Amino acid sequence: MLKIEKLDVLNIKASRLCLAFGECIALCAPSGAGKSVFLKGLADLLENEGILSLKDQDRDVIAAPTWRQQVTYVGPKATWWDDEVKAHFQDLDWLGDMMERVDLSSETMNWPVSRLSSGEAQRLCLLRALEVHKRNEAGILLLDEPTSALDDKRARQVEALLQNYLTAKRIGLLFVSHDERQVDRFAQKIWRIEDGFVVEEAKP
Amino acid sequence: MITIGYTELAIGSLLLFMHAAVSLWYRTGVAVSLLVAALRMVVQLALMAYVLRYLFVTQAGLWTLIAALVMIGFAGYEVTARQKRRLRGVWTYGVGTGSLFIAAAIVTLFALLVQIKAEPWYQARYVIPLLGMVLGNTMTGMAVGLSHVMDVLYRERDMVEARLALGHTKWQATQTVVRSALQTGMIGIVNSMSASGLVFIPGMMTGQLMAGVDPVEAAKYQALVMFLIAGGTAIGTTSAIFLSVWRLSDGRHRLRLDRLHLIK
Repeated sequence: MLKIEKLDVLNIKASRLCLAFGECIALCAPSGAGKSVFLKGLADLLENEGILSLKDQDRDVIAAPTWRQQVTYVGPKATWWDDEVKAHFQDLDWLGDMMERVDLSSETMNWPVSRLSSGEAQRLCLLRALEVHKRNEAGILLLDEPTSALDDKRARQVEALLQNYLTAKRIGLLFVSHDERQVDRFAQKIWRIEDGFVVEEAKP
Repeated sequence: MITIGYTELAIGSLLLFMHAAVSLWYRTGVAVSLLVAALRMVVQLALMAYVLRYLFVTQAGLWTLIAALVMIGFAGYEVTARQKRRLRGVWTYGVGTGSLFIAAAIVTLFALLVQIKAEPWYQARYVIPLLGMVLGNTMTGMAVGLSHVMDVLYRERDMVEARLALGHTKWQATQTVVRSALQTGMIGIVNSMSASGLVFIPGMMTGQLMAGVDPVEAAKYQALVMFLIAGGTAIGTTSAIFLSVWRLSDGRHRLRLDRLHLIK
């Protein structure tokens, strides 16, 4: 599990929070309250002070890239560094299978990234992070509005895919969503940011 | 060699005043900067000429070294002055001047000790013109490469951060940016090497030809100078780009654009 003994990132603070593998938590707060900042802080992408550990291993003794391969942040904007979709992945067989599961034709991997719609791009960016986690026995995913560009049907497909990982205890999930129905049906717990403090709220 | 009189020189400058008139008429705003630059050029060249005359006579190594350092300092300042986005703190000038110093020192010493072998090797007659040519060209390549790396890192920060988030190291995450910056920085020297001899005769060779040197000897000198310039540009640009990336990221492989600021 991911243990947050203490974290302070750009004045967003948290202490004594836990995210277990198999657990799915929604991070809720109004826009501009620091949701992305907090997620990036957990992934050590922003300067922060904190005592964090994953599977009882202290963050500070793990090299930052290794930490991020296990505590992986996926941002709200899809970005690419190569011209072709498939250049962003290593295992194309695995990718083909996974694409079918979120309603993407495996042909899409041969496209230039410029041809992708925002919904296609968003799902591929999620798969890109899942591929990194293929190596891990268990890890944490920090998803910043993972289905914002998807219609309801496809959002549910993505949830179902993630649910498989959750059930197998392969991942622990912390996600941001502005869709209250999604939070209701998908999250087991809610973390809120109140006056700069991240606190856990019991779900009624 | 035919010497030019001051009257002839003044007549030459009339060309500038012609354009200044056009510029004033159309209010392009170039007139003032054109005249200021021309005036600067004349004053700087005159100063340089007197300094060189002194250095040639005295043969003092120390003064040659001081002149060289002053030149590097000004070149470093020029590189930084062309940046729209700059590093904060001492790094503002540190990256540009430092890289220029390394590049210019390596290349110029290499040429003086290995190829030209003057006696003594630190004669101002060779040191200053060589250094000048290396600096002038390295400066341009570096300014272009540096601007590119800063602008693109800023513009593509989401991409770089996405790669870092996937566990790529800072060098992997900035790979595409570094690659295009290295290319951009070297374009100038590649073009000028390709075109020299066909489209234009480079400045140094022109000077030697007019001074009555045998064309083949002049060409050899020019080729050597081109090698030096290309080497200097490569060293300076590469070092400046990698220093910038190193400075714009930290030990935990984070992108640190807070160390960058925009000059308005």
